[in-house]
Amino acid sequence: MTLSQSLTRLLALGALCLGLTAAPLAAQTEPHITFSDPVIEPMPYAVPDFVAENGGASQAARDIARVVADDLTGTGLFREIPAAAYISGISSFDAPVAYADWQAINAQVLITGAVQASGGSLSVKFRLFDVASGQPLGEGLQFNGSESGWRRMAHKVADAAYSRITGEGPYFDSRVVFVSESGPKDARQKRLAVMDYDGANVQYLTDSASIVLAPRFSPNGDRILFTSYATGFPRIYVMNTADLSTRVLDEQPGSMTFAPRFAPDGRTVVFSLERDGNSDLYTLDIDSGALTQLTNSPSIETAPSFSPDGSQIVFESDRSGAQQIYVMPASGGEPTRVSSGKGRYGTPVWSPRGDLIAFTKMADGRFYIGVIRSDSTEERLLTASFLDEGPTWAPNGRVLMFTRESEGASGSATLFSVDVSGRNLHQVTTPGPASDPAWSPLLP
Amino acid sequence: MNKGLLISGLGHLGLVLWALLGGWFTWTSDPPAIPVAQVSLISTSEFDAMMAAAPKVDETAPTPTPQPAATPVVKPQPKPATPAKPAPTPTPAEPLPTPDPAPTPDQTPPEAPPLAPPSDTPQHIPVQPSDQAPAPDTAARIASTPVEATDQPNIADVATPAQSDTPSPDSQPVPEEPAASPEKTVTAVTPDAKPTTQAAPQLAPTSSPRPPARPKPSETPPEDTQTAEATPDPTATDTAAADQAAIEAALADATAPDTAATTPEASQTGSGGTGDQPIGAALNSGEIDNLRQIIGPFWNIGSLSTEATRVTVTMRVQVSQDQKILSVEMVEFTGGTAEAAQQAFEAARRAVIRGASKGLGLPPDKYDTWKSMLFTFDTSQGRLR
Repeated sequence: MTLSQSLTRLLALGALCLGLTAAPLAAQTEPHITFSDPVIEPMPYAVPDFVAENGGASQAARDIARVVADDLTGTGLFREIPAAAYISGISSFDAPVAYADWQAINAQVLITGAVQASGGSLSVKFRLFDVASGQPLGEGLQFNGSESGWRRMAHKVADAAYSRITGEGPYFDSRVVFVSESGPKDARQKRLAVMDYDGANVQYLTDSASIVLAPRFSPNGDRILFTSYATGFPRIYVMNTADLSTRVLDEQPGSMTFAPRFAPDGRTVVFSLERDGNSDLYTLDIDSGALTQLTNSPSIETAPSFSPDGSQIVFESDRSGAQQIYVMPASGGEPTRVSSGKGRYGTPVWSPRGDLIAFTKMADGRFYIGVIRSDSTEERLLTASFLDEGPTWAPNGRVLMFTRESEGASGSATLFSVDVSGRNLHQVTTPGPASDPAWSPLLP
Repeated sequence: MNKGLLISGLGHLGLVLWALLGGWFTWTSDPPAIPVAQVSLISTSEFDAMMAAAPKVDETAPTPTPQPAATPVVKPQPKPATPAKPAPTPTPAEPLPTPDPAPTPDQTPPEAPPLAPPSDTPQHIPVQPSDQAPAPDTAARIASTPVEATDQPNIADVATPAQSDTPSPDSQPVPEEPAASPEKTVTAVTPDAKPTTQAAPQLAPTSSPRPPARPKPSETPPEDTQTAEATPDPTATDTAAADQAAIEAALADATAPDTAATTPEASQTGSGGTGDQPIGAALNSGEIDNLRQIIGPFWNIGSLSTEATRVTVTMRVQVSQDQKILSVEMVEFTGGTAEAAQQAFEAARRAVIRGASKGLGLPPDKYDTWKSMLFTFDTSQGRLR
């Protein structure tokens, strides 16, 4: 190799190194900036009155827009911009959106809709817009139904908007069964009632002839389990929601049954059975009537709740000397203690998502609603008061509803809901005192 | 002559006088008496007799250890879950030496072992045997004030409960979901700005500051160049032609960007983009903080799902020279599903677009630097649980 060849080779290697390093150097010059301090506040949005596409739809157009706004604002995740601040309106469902006008009032999301009424039926359609980027947020949707079902259609619109913006599952189009109470504390009359999740459309399912407790929806919402003292002893009944027909679920002479809950398959019920002063957990196959004992302990086991996949059961037991939460296989077996903090834990309910277990905690003379992971980690208390108890999950696992009872002889029970983050605690409007809520699945 | 005789005579006279009177001038006190030790002398035969009578000494035997009673031993704690206790106080039954400030020689036994340091001197805790559970909070020093000795081992009577009242997420961290490959999500935003070629002369200088130049390499060819030739690789010789082709290809690749950058299309991107232009200077911390101040307030995760609030999204943001958002592209995400990442991306994208609506406050002369940026939105500070 001559000297010139060597020099050529050396220069070539240098150029090769330069070429190999040029690209990384260029990439390194692209600034990489990290933002780590997000703002957590409700998102401002605008929902002008829906456009009435014919004369008979005017009232429905306004009402539906109001229900949509109430649903979204009620989550605590959104803040409605009042109509008085609007610069431009929506005169036609298909008219172009003046994004600049909505950006000017700081709206981040715009919901437009139109309603058409004809022959007792309604047609509701809506669109969702990302104002910041000036483009639609998904495709528009249309719902058709009867005029009497306008609230459900409004909930459907709100559910779609909520899910698209937040990524959470919907829950507005759902119902809640609860115990409606009347009379003084020492002589309460209780009957079952059902309502929309927001407290509207209350309907009573039983009379006040006997005390009823602990209603629970079936997985598809067609039946309700509850405990009644109609015979003088607590016993489990099942009600068909279509015709309100009721029958005793179990025939266990000489025993008391209570705290029932459906398995995810809807064919099995788990409950507590008290016999000879001892309470244990059992499952009952509704079709065959087969009874299976899950626990056999001298302690009190009650308040069972299936995991969403049906493989496990969470329940409360005082086997350690105080009420605590345990998890065991759905077929029975050695339970694993979940709660470990100071105080007593009860009424556990597994989240529809399967990630959390909600519970009631009693400590230092106060009651709390909290959540904990099934692996005993990340216990968080969401509420605290004189008496908070009996949480139930919304179908999307994001919101909890529970009973809050005020102190004193004149105190009464009310229903409250709270976001799983602990924010947005607010009372659910009911006609009178109410307790023991149980959320239905999302309506079809 | 007479002078020399006179000097010699005086010298001799002085010498005679010194010899006679010198003791007066050099008189000192009497020297100290030499200490005399009374030594018993023995004869060689007597010495041999004594050695024969003395017991045999095993030179392999270990050196006698100091007496335990005279050595302050720090007993190892069986399980120092808490900071190590001070050394036990010496008791009369176990006369450990009490350190005196100034022990006199008379009080020191002639054959005493070396004293252990006083208790206020740092001492190492004995290393735990391997069969003992290590304690994370073992003290490194012994307390200066001795306390009453205790026979109780440092083990809790009651086992630590497995679960605390408020379990710490840090104790059992939830495993983070592995990063999934993001869907290709690109948001192209129609810029309101005029073409950058028109705005360039007004907004940006024609060149950006050059980075410090590298020192020129020595023009002297390296000496080891000849060494390589002196010991040629046989395989290199066989593949010389292939190497030459590869070198030529590398040269072509290395010079290719310059060629591309000098195309008219590239030269329209304002001050940057040309091959002979330097890469723009990096944004300084003040400029980056300013960008955070502009976009950060618009990053609202309050309406995100609980899962989406756990997602960290990184996006590439293309910006025009008049600081309008040209496109926002999600490049990666961690901590959730693709659906949740999409929600998190939408929230971050809204923040970028809204924040940029009134300008990003970026220095025009660094357009080459910020025309494409990576933004990571890390929700770990404010996520919902």
